[in-house]
Amino acid sequence: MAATVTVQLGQCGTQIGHELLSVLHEEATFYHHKDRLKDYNDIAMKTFFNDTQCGKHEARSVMIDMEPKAVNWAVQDTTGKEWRYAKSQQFVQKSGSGNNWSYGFKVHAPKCKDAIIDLIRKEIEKCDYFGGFLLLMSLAGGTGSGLGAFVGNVLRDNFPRATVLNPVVCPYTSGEVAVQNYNAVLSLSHIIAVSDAVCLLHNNQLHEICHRLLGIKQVSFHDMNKVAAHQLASVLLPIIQDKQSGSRFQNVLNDIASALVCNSRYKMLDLKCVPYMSPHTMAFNTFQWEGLAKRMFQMMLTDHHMDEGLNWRTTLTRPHGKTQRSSTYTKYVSSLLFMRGQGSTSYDLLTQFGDSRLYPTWIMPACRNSVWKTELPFRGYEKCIAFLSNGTSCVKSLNVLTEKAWDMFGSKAYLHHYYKYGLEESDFINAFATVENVIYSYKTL
Amino acid sequence: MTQSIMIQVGQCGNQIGCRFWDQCLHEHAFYSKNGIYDDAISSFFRNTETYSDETYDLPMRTGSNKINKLKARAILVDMEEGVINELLQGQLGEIFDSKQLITNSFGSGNNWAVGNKEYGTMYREQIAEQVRKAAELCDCLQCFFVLHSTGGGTGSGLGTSLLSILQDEFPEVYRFVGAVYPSSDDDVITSPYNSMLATYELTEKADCVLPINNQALINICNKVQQAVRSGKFEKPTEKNAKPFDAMNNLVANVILNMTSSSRFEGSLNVDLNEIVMNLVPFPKQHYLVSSLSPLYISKDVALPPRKLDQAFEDLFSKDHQLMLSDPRHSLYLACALMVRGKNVQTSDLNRNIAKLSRNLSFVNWNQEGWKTGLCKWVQQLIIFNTFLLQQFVLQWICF
Repeated sequence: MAATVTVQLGQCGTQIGHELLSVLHEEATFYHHKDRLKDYNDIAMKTFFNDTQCGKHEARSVMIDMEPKAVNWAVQDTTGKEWRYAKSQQFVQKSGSGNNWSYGFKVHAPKCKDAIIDLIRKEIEKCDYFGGFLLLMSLAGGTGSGLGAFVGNVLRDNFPRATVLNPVVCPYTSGEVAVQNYNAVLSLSHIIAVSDAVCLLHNNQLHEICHRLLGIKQVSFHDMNKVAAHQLASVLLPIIQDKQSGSRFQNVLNDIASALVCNSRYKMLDLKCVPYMSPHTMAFNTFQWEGLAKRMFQMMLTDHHMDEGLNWRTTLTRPHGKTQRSSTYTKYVSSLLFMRGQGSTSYDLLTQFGDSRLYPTWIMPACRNSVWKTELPFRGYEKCIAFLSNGTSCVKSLNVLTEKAWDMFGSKAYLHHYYKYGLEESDFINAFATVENVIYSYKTL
Repeated sequence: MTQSIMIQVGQCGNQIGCRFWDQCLHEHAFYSKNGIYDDAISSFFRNTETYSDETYDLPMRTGSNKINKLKARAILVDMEEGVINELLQGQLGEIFDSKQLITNSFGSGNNWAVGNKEYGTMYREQIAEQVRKAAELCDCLQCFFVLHSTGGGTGSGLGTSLLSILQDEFPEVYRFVGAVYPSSDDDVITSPYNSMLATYELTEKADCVLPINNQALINICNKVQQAVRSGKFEKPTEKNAKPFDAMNNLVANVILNMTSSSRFEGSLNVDLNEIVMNLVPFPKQHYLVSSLSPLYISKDVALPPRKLDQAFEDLFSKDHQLMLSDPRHSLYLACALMVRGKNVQTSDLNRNIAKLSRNLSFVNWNQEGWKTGLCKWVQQLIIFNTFLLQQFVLQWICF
């Protein structure tokens, strides 16, 4: 099976990556009764971690940040745990990027390019069979977004056959950084071109999940990172059928990319999971596939991120007298379902989720929707469904970002900070055009 | 970790600087109880050893060396010797190297022209030399802090001429200026001229200016004194407190809080370059009004709000601003909200931003012009601390 190298960029990338690796390690070392599941643990471990002689597992990860605090915190947090980061696989500078995309992309990046490629190559050499990269970053800051866009380009140039899956974090729409929209548009325009798939995670949605589903009163970034890690792990962990001896996942990133990204114009993925509940309430819940499937289907139709507050009135049947274009449900290019839990193999979701009304006519029925099942539970949830889709879910958030950035661009606010380091007006215009193209492609589905 | 150099010019600048170093040492003593010279303290201090009258810098190496003798990364400039001498003879004398001082005995006679043109040219080389030396001792210099008043002669004139030296020698290093503007009953008759001339230089040469008004500081101190007198809190036990100490403490705290997130860790770090990036939409519009909550004037007294949300509300009230202004009726270009405290999380920030946005008017192209920061560590006695930098259309500047 193929190893995945996690590249954690900037404070956000480092923090989310850290939680994700913790979750993956936990799942890979979880004790199961049946020993056939040793395969599962093996594959999960070998994909993301390296076995060292001294017994501790080392994460296949490279952390890159332009200031040391977040990376130091992550490295220190692994003391006492059964896994750790490999020594000297962290690249830190001292001065930070100042939330300036231009500084991250034009100033830091060329200086650090060689050192970063070296670190990545070293990590790849440790793998028996290298599959691809998981590039974690945020869109709002300077390092994650600016340097991240550059690293994406570098990975594509130096490792053209590797699959690059890019989960990116979109900032709070209420404002986290004043120039977040500029940074987001500039980053997206680059990573859309070089990544195989871009998965958008939204701070707003993660926050709401923590608040409403998990019942956390004072939501912290730590809680939100745990939710994001849970979502990502639910699609990255292996899928093993009990009856087969081999694993279904030879190369998790490649499989996901080939299932979902059939056309390079459509690369924006969205991730949804059910169920979520706080550990206290888990004992009182019974899990049924019908219930989960129903909720997930409605989430799919309404493009809602959680199973609370759903609009149940939206259905697939076309309203009487309306034209084809005015359907209110979300449209998809393709989708992928992960069913983890007992009884998954005997429950069929393909017919419901593969309904032709949800997909464009030019996509073949076999490519519309896949369901991957495993009898093994995930994170203590007896049954759970994860839904990774390529569809119009991204349009709303991309629109918001682009409109606000365009407004600011019209007043020429903050531009002098970007121009100081070599960015020009034409770069901005190109970035806007690229993102607008993506939005248009999805809108006309 | 980056380093910053403090340049204190004139009587006001040096007195504020004195309070700043005092507070800074207290803060670091509280943070690092076992006396290790780490990244955080290296941003303002050097660790030194003295051999045969020469002071040598001790490198940080692995960050686990004990503190030997701290020296401040500071340059003290004054054209009169009184204030600096007092500083050196006090408790803080040891953290300053004699080479870091630039003094004269004649003073500037409250004349901006004397400070800027005459002393500016006379001391240009000497100041440049000192700045270069201090910069060489820094691993990664990020920012200069210049503290001065705009009403006098030295602080105003020489302080602004210093900015052009910094701009020429170190163009990529940020220049933050804490400028104290005179109150309406200022006793210096030429202060309006001096302030206006200084403001022109600040607009051209500084990256970021934090204007502070003496009257606003007086109001805040009076408010705290009233609370103390009304018996809500114990009387402060500050020994040898000088008259302006309370007001200067406020300004010192502003700078400490602004740099807290770049020195200490947190879940959402804000560096000084991020402040400039997010709050300065156009190059010349870089005047940021600051405000603090809770208010405190000495290390013993704190005015705790009833709850965290109250602290956020207070930040936007007229009484907490360090410059006479009315935040509720101003147009905001951008706003930075920095919170310190272990128990404050992003949900608290978001909740308060949502509440506050309803009552504040932001410019139409930056409706969500918020920059947020969370830092884990607070100064002692305070449970949490919120600090605000606002960029709004200043109605008036002091005259």
